[in-house]
Amino acid sequence: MRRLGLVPYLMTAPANTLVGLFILLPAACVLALSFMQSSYGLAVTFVGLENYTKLLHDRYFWRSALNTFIVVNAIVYLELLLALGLTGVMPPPGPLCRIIISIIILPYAVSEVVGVLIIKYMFDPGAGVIAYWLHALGLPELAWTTRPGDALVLVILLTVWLHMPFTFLIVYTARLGLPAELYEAARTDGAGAWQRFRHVTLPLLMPAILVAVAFRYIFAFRLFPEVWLLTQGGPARQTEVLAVYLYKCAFRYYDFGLASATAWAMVILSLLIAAPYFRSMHRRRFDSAR
Amino acid sequence: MKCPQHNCLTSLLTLNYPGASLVAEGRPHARKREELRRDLIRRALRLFKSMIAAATVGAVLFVYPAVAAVKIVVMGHRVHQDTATTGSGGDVTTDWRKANDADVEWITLGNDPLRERLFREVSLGETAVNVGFVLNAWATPKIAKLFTPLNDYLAKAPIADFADISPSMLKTMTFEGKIYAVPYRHATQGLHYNESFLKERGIDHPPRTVEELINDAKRLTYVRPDRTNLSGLVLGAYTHQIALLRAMGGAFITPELKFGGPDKAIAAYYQTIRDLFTAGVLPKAMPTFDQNSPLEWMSQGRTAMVIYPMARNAQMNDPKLSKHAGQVKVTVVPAAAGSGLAVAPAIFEFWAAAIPANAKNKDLAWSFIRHLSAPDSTVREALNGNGPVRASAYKDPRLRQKLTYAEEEQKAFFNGEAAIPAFDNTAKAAEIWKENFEAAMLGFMSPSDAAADLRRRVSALLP
Repeated sequence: MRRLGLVPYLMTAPANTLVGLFILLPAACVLALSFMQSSYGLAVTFVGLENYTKLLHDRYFWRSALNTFIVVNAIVYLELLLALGLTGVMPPPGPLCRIIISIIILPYAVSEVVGVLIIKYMFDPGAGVIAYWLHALGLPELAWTTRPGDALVLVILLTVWLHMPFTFLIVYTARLGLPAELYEAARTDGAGAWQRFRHVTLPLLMPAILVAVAFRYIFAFRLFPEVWLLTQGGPARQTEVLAVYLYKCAFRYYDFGLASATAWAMVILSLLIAAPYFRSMHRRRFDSAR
Repeated sequence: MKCPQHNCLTSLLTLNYPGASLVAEGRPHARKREELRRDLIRRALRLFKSMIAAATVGAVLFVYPAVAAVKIVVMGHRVHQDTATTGSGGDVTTDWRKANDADVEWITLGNDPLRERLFREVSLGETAVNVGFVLNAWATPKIAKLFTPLNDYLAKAPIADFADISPSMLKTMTFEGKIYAVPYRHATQGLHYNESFLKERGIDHPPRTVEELINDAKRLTYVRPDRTNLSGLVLGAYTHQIALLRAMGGAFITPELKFGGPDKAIAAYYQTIRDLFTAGVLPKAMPTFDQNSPLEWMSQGRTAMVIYPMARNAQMNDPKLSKHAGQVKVTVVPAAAGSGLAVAPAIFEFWAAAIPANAKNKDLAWSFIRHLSAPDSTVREALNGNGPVRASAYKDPRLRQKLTYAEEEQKAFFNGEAAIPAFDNTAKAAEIWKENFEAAMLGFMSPSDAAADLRRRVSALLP
């Protein structure tokens, strides 16, 4: 194997320095803080694994972890299904296609806070327009203010509406790059629409799907504004997710050590969830190289 | 002398410049370009020099005086700056600024950002902040130590008529015999009611007992002629919820930091809340309410009564902000029948001015706090919309004329108490209160289980 000289390292040094300064160094500081007791008015003292022990024994941590797991999985797969479905029914490239793409990605341009507040008012049980029409049409009420399950459903729907464009753009762009000859060949062989999708589109789109899913898992794990602005983790702390739990530790209770331990727990959990997808992407890369 | 090659006029006397070789080769156009280049450089240098000169003059005329002048930095909520400087009471800080030849720089933030920023400032080795405003709920013993004890300042340069300031508020800011902050602004809970809605239901006076309050709330839950679904009563944050608990004779955490009262009082309270919620009196959206939601609901005409700070009555009657301006009155929260009390124990929140322990120029900071706390300043701040912390302010004719509820507020606030006394786990106690309140209201836990659970978990947090 050819040995690299000093020059490649020097040329990548600026980028690596930035990564180190803005990502690795803060992460290391947070890791160090997670082994300390730290709060306003107290000297920082080393407490070993006490914060992690406290975390693992806190039922609210496990409830928020469970809520996060359920919500994140629902969000990621719902977005993927919608993105694939929309990709399948998109018209050929042209003015109509461009208009439809603009409409699809419009929610991505909306500020999360603004989007959440709009939905909150539209679903207000007493005066919201959507709540009114659900009642008028005899449909079941989405009692998100009083039933935790309904609140999580609203969080999922809201998050999918805001962030589905990200998955759609990745999947749709990959779809546009697929060779048309494969579809012609499949049609010639007598394959129907579903068979073409299952045996041609899906396998070829798999790398893009893995990228989209991996990224969405990591981003969705940090879910905060949707839950905080809708319910603040209520009612009765039943809809808390990990980011809300972390926020309360840091900015309500000023327990920075426990908050840091929560942050690292989130990193480890999100890596564990995303790891199979990264592994699959890594294997596919080497499989295609052979 | 003519250029030998191109026959154009060229001076060979200017051959010692960078383009000279080109000219020597007989290229006059290169010389012209070279001259233009040098001219541009000269102009750019002239412009740069004049910018430096202008910046220096500007610094001398504007920046240096601002930097050199004495000033104090005050960090607080926007309402502190507004009540100290704007309104019919005038700018209270003018006299102080003239007397001390000093300026005041205000840094204003919302509640949560203020708490975070101020606590970070006071945790540093040194801060530029001279005076910080703290909410009573933030003033725990740990946090208090980040501020300067004021006893020595009070001894050297006392605040005029200091005993006139609410003793219970001062006690909240006192730890181990040391006063850490001087109360500035209070918000005492009162019962706001829409008079026109009461008249619509044939109720001709506000409730005089808490039992009447609960019955009236049930009667006031109906669909109005304009098809608005009216809620009889709305409670927002834990301060409003605890105000009702105190009115019913219960207690959460006493000022002596003991878990208050028997479980059955809190269980009875939770049962009442559950009944009111099931009957539709308390709105379904209540679990998602924030601090401002009751104000919004009252202003929009969606509720007949709220327990809320009395001072907010002005906003509820502001035509620019409220659909029912002029119809919302305020009174004290009534006590339980047979309790022997004329009014329920008042629940207040208040802001106090403190000097960070790591601040510079503490003498000047104390002089500022002393000025803001003077009797006349307090009245002027109240005219600007502040909640005055002095009993004497309520007797001032200017204030009585401006505040329709001055008498009610005076009755309530002097003997009031904080919803949750400040101790190191106040935030956790408030969180547990909110959780169990919602659990009982929504039926996740029975009232008695919720009360027992509250006692068990909060008692473990008390010192």
